[in-house]
Amino acid sequence: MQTPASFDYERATSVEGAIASLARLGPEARVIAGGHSLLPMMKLRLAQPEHLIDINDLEAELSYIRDEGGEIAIGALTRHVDLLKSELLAQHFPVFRDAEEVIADPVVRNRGTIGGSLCQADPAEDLSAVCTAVKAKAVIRGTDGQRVVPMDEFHVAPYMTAVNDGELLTEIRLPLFPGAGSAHEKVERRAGDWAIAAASAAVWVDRSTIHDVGIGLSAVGLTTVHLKRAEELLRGKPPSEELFQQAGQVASEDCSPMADGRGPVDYKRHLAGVLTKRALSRATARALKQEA
Amino acid sequence: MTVVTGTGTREVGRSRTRLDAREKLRGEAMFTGDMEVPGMLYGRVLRSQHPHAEIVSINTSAAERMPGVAAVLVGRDLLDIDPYYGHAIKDRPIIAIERVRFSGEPVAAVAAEDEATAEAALAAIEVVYEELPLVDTIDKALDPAAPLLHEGPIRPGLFHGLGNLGERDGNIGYRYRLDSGDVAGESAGAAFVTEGEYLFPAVYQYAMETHSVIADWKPNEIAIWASCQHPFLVQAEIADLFGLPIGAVRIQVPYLGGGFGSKSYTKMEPLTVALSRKARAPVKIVNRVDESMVTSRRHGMRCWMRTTADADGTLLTRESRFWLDTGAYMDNGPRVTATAADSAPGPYRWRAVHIDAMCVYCNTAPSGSYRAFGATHLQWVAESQLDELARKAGIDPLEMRRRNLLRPGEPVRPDGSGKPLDADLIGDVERAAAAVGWDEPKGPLVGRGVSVGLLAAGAHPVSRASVRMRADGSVEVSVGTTEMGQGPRTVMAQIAAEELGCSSDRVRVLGADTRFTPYDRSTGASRSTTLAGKAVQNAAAAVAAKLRETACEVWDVASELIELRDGKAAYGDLEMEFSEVIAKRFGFTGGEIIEGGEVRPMGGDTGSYAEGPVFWEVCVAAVEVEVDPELGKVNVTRTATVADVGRAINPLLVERQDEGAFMQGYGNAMFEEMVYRDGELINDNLLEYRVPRIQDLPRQMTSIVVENEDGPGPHGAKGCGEGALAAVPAAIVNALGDAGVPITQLPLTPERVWRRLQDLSEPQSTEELT
Repeated sequence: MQTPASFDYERATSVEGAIASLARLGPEARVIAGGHSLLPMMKLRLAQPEHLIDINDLEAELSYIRDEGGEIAIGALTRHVDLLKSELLAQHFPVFRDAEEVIADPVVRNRGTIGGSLCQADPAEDLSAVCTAVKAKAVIRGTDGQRVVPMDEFHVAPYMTAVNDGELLTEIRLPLFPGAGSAHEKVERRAGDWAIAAASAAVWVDRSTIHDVGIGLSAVGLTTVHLKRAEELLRGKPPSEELFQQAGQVASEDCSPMADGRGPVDYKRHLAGVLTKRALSRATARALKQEA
Repeated sequence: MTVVTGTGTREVGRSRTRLDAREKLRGEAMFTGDMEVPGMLYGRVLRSQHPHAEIVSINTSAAERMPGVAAVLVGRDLLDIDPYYGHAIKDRPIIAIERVRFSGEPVAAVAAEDEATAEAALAAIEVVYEELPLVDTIDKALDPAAPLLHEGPIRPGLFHGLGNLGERDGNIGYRYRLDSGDVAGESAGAAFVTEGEYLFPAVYQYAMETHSVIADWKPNEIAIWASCQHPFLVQAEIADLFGLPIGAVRIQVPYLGGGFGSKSYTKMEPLTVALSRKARAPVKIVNRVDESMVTSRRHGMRCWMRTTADADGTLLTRESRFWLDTGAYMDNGPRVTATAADSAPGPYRWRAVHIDAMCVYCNTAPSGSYRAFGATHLQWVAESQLDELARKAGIDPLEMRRRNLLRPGEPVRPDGSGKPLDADLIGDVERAAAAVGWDEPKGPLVGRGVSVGLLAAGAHPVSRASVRMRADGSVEVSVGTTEMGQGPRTVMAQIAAEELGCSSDRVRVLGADTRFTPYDRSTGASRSTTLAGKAVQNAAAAVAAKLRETACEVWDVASELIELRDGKAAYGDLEMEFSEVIAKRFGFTGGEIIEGGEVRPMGGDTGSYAEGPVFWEVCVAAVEVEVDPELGKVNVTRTATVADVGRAINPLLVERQDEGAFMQGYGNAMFEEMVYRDGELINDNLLEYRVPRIQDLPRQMTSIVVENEDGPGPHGAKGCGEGALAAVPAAIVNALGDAGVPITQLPLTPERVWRRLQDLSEPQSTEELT
């Protein structure tokens, strides 16, 4: 098949209107933004929504990256290209630019959105690991108002998120703390491909000690992998290559990869370790302003 | 890169902008898929999901009853003709008859008023299969107990071009041997020996345009519009299949969106014609990507090779046995096999050579031509053994080649037959090596490699062309060469303009229409500029002679005093526009000058087109890589490829061709592999089967255009555009070997390189074979 099943199409004119439509149409409705995941799935008939609600006209409400004092807020409709180019993000969380440089290609980045990436919840997707590492929170709105969900609760299963029928992901919030550094490392078969494995790390360094740390992995589990045990290992210790090596070891053990067309289990596990180590090392160098 | 431009020419040697650029950039260029003819139906094909099965029954009645469905074609509709085709071996039915031999084989086809109806009708066709034992790999096919995919005597096709096809042996459909000297005796005292098994995966040509055909069958004439590279060969095969004289089959070829060999010879045309015959209406079939991926591909290969040298690195012997997986039908397998065997010795002096090449039937999709076929399969194996010997002997790989490479005029084939070497290979490889910093210091994880090979190019040298000057002095070149992105329309215009003494702007070059366009064997084997270009040059020279003839009558001077320049005939201060010359010639403001040009073989009558060959295409590259041992990633940092073209008619197009060939060679070496599971192609889409992207390119790519004016084509030109593809995988593998990671299987995925590094770091490793 190369053509989708038939569907109704509606172009939302406000966030409120989009949510009202989602609430009215229930489980057979899907939101479309960039469409780079949803449309291929529809063409392959892996997805057959009866209604599409197009939110591309909601840029005024949903496309922004702004410093809200103590937090950076990113609208769900913000395109990959805007994440790539944002100096504000690059200054606070260079991990976004690292990841965006290796996500797909300019055509996809010009249309695809952060909200779409997170809601697609593909375990091999890069931004979910990035958001896990930087301790992002997702703002989900429904007809009864909004709730804020941490990344650990956002991904509930492969391709499934905490966003319920009748709800819309509207914003990602990134808390700001001093001493931050972050980095994303990825191995793919060729440029623009999905990861064989990828690791995102963020560290917050205080007086030569890792005050806090976040690590997320892509393509090595049923969903994005949050490396809590490795984070525990690192917290409160002075950063060193040896310590990062140990954290990498934990990453190899704690991920749960499955073989796919991009790589077998042992290689993915190996990569999870190496990439975790490298991401931590680079994130720390950035935090200490020592990046080569 | 610096391009030496020829002197004494005005059009030839200039980087003219492509004549088709404007049309293509504006989206105005027509491809077969864009075309519609009145009353046209849309065809879709039901393809087998079984790689090997008997067809027990096909029930088409529900599909036939569907509104909008005009016809459903199955094997039993072809009982009135001999439905088997294949330019090399007639082993393929137009549509499956009683048995399917690969997953994706056409079993039924529907013509309907629109594509959606045709697609829906496919779902209503019931096919009952009975599965047969699966022969999906070379190893299974060679098992003496394996079922035979084809039985009965071999039926030669119209254009196998191999002299003698030999007999089938089990599932080995074609075998080609090269034997010269006493290998055992000559290698007995060798100081250095290298031996190994190598694997090359099946890969896909990936032309952006999929195979597309419109066919209109009528009792006395068949009209076809097709994305085919060799319209005259398809014309003859269709005429043969459907019992018509050649001239009653008309094929028109618009632009092609890439070919790379995937559209050489006959592909979807017979099925589309047969469906049109059943529907009694014109039918269009446009493949999806997954369908084109099972229409043509490059052969997978298993290869064993052994090479020996004496103490000072002088090569002694080479032996190789290899098996190419041709899939369910031969397609161009025999030619690919012979060309691969020709590439196995490489351009070196040997005391003895023994090559045994086999083309094997399997329950996989058919393999055919892909740019630089054969040479791509063997050059990386042959050249990596050369480097291994150099490492063992402690000789710099470049020096190893200087000592052993053939020099111009030396025989290329070990038995001395065919054309002697017509290129300066040592000069070529030295330039390539210098461009990647061969002698510069390098770190432990950096490696550099070179590779040198030859490709028998030109196919059969049979080309005709006509050049026609209209009353207004405008010019049309009629030549069978297919424009598939490689730029022949521009180049042919330049060649004609040079002879005529006018700007190429006034020359139009038309796509092939077999009703009017003179015969040209094919567009492939790097032959168009050299052979079709020569025919165009001859035709244009004949038109120029007619212009001079009239000018000398008008001015009453000897014809050698007449100069053709700037679109005018000139004698001293006297000038006449071409339009005036034609008006004088006919005494009327009309008429035209139309002349033909011909190229045909000089000598050689065994029927094998490689016996020349027309020229040896140079396949030379140098590469620098950097290895990340923790990840297994290979970064190709610097590359150089050599387009040794004799004379660059259009230097920019030569560079673009060379770069394109580089890209595909790079993809074949690094990324691409068709993955089969139980006979089914599982990565049959461009998300999972990916060719290199612009971000994958090396930091520095150099294309070196060499112009020694030593080719047989116009102005000393010879073809290009394939050599780099064959050369690049070898150079990458050698650079990786230089960095400490010798490897014997492509592609060089990070995982494969990582595993190899794991193996190499294990102490019990038994890598050294000597």
